[in-house]
Amino acid sequence: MLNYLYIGFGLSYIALALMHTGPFMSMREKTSWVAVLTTLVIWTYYFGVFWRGALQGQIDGEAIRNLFIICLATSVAIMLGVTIAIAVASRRSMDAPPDELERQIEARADSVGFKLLELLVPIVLIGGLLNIDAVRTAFPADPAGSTAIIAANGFLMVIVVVELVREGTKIVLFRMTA
Amino acid sequence: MPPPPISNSIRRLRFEHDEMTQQSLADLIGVTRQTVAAIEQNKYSPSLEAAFRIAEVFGADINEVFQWKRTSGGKS
Repeated sequence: MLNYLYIGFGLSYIALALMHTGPFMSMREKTSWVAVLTTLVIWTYYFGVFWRGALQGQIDGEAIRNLFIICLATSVAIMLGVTIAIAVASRRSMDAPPDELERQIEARADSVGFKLLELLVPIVLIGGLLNIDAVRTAFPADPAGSTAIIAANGFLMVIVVVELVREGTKIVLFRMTA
Repeated sequence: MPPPPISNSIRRLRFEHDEMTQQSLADLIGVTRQTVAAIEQNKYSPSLEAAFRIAEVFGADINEVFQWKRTSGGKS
């Protein structure tokens, strides 16, 4: 419970800080900051809980599913809520089309993200296939289910890392032109 | 990344046009204030369309707004 309070306070502080950056950051850069910080806090917590359990040989499929749904719903709610709050505070349209510099930055960030995705998917796939026997031995009660849950979380982690790098690249490029 | 070999007079032209703000110029050419600031500081080369729009706002020739800095290898 205390963990959720810390996360709530931390994200509220970030939202307030971003709302007070005023005209120094574009709406899209602020949105990228919200995405990076929310993803870092919430998904680090999720994967921390999951991998700690997995390394101790305890995978509770139902608990992991519930935690995943809570984390997904929380991150969507926070990203949407904070973005709306920032848009209202800065009196800017939330869905304004990107201008030419923003389009260029998004294209470069997408390119970096795609290359990383191309690299990480085979690594997770080959790593998973090579460790199937080790996973089956570690989880004798439900070897097939545990293997599936670990593989799914491996791919989920790839998606989260790629998204973090993509949004992080946007922030770096926005800062380079600021 | 080295800055583009282009300089500009946007800051002076804004000043001469009733101290026009970056936000006003951005609204007139349809970009964000941050993009105008990046162009003005020579950190971003605008598209040809944006360059012409800026020149149009100031009622100036594009050569008056943007100047190409000749590179050592280029023909004069």
